[in-house]
Amino acid sequence: MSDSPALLKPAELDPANAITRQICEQMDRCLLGRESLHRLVLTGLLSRGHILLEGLPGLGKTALVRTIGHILQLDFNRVQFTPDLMPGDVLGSHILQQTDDGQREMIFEPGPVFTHILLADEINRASPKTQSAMLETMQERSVTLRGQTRELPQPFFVIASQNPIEMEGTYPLPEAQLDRFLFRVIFDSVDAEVLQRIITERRQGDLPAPNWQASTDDLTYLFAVMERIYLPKPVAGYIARLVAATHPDHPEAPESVKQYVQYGTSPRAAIAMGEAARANALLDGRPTVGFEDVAAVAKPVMNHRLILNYQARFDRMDTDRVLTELIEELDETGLDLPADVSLQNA
Amino acid sequence: MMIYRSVLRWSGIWLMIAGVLVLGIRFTSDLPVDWWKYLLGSWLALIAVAWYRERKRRPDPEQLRAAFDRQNHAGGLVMAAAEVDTRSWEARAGTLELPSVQWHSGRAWLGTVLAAAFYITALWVPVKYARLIADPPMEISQQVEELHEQIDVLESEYILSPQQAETKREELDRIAEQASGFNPSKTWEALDQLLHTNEQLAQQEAEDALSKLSALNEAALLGKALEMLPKGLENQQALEEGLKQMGQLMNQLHQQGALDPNNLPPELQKAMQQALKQLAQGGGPDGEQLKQMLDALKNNQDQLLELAKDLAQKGLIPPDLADQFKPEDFGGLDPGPLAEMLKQHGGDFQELLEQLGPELGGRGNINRGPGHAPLLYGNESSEEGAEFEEQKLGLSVPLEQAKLAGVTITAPEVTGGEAILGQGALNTAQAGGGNALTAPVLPRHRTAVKRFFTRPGTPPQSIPK
Repeated sequence: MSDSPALLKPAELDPANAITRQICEQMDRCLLGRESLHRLVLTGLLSRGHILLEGLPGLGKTALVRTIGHILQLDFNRVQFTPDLMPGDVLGSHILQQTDDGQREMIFEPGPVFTHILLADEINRASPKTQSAMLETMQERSVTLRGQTRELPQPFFVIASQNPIEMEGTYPLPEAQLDRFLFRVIFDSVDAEVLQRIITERRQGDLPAPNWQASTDDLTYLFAVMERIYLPKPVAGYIARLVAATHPDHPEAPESVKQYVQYGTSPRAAIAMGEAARANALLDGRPTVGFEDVAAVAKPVMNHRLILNYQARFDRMDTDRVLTELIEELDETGLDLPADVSLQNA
Repeated sequence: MMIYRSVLRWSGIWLMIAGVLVLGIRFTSDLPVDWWKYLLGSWLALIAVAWYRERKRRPDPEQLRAAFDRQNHAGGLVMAAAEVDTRSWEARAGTLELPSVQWHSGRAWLGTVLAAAFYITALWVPVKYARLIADPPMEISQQVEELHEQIDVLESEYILSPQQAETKREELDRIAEQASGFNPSKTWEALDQLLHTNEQLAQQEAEDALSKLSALNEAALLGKALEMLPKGLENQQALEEGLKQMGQLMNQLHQQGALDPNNLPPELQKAMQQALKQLAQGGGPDGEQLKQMLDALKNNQDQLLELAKDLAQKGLIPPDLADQFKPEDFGGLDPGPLAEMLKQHGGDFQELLEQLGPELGGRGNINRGPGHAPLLYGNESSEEGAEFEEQKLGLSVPLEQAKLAGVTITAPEVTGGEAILGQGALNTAQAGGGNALTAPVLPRHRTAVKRFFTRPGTPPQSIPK
């Protein structure tokens, strides 16, 4: 055990956990009634993943991104995606410019992607050509134009939003691009009590300014701690079995997967789930990842990566129900105890 | 606990299977004496297999540690303890409790108890009920009895030899023994087959008897006619010839087996033997012998009628065949006219029968009857008065206005003003792809087409290959 990697000590983890709590508190203070969602978005950011927000207009998607930018003191750009938006409008373009000595040269004018947090609003309204331009930025975190690759500022996150009800004039995101999003987070309506608070406390929708902001050092420290959150082998094994069981031909796949899933999730989903589970453990103030961390992030990680068949459409089955059944049926420990045998605390 | 659980569940399944086996053995035969040894042995083997299987399926320590971690909501700390140093977190982890394995054994116990109850029921259920279920009886006693009676009749009438009759009886008993309600068609088919063979034998015998009866009737008719001749007959020669023919007929009947001396009373048998001996030497019977012969014929006729009656009563011959056996003397014929003819002319008995056919009465016989006309073949029927007459029709349109029906590969046959239109031309067509609707010849081409067909001595065109 002396050769084994050192686990984070409480003294190392506690400051990081305090920072995350502060961030969550500030977000909860600015945006009312979205506690679990804030936690999930912070989990995604700590995992250095991109997030796809799906919800109706007016639910606070843009406000959420702007608030995070303010709290983390990160640059924030917003691009409204439209059908005539060109890749150059997002990535940047070269323009011919006269220099001081009278010469002319091509100068690169960076696009809005050169920022820390990019809000791609209604990303499914852009043409596939522009959507494809986002692929390199999301995966490689760089932009290559005219043979020259330019690194994007670190950290770099894409938080995209899409409207699920206005399908006319939209271009659904291809599976390759969907796979690059760590989470797909569903924005639900808030309940009446929260709405009442919003009406009374948010005149004209103005957001209150955060009274605490994380510094760049805080963020760096958080990412450093994230690197040392330990993933035990049984948990890694559970993640692997969970991802493998999304494939209909896998022996551990439950009946709903066999019946309704056409294509299961990719290895990228397993990597994303491991990272997101680490972030969840950090938010809980634990140095190790447990099964509950995996359960907390499994659905947002996999719900946009699972491709259902036509039978699911006929039976009105969605990915959420399929994943719920998968998580319920797959035993985390691999013991596969019979139905009439269970483990209970003495 | 898992071994105990497997043993209990497997025991339930084993009891069910053993119950079915015991039930099957008891239905078909008897249980072996030491059946409980097999029972105990197989159960011990079952326990051994269950123990081995559960030993193989024991979870590894990593899985147990994961289960321990999950039950205590340790957040991966217990699992990580096997891989990294977690001592700095022990204070925060608090007291961890070892989870216990809970087995909800109610259903397993219920299943095993039910299986055991079934097994005990299978062991003690009265076999007579079981056999009723296993082999429902089939009621065929009446059919078997009828067939037995038929065989008895066939044997008593010497249609079946005693050995054949015994074989048939054994076969019938076997069918009756194997008759099962599960497969009634098999039994019915076997009974039908037996009945069919009995009927075939009986009908064959009845037809023989009918033929013999006819011969006996003829002989009796002649004998009666001879008996009716007055004493001191002028045409003594006719009487002698008649008696001689009577003797020949009796000989024939004897040789054919129609006249069986065994069917006669002893004194008649003796008289018949003397008469037959005399007849064999070429002499005719005298008056006394004639009377004895008539008695013998009557006796044999009665025997045959009795045979037909017995067969008909047992349903071995159809009613129409049985009706042909008439209990009338001489087959319903009147010997009077025959006696008159013999008295006047004498002559051949068969010829006289043919000539006297209608006068003898009766219901006809094998001759062609009076007034028969010869059947002549070969005269053609006259067409006079026929409604339709074949005639060749002329062309409906002139040749100039005809449409092209096809192009022949040879020069068309000139029919001298007559043309045969239709399929002949199409059969030899080389163009048109088999399509009957060909384009009509345009007026400007009509002259050229006509010239082609009227060229004298044009060699036939060959089909390009």
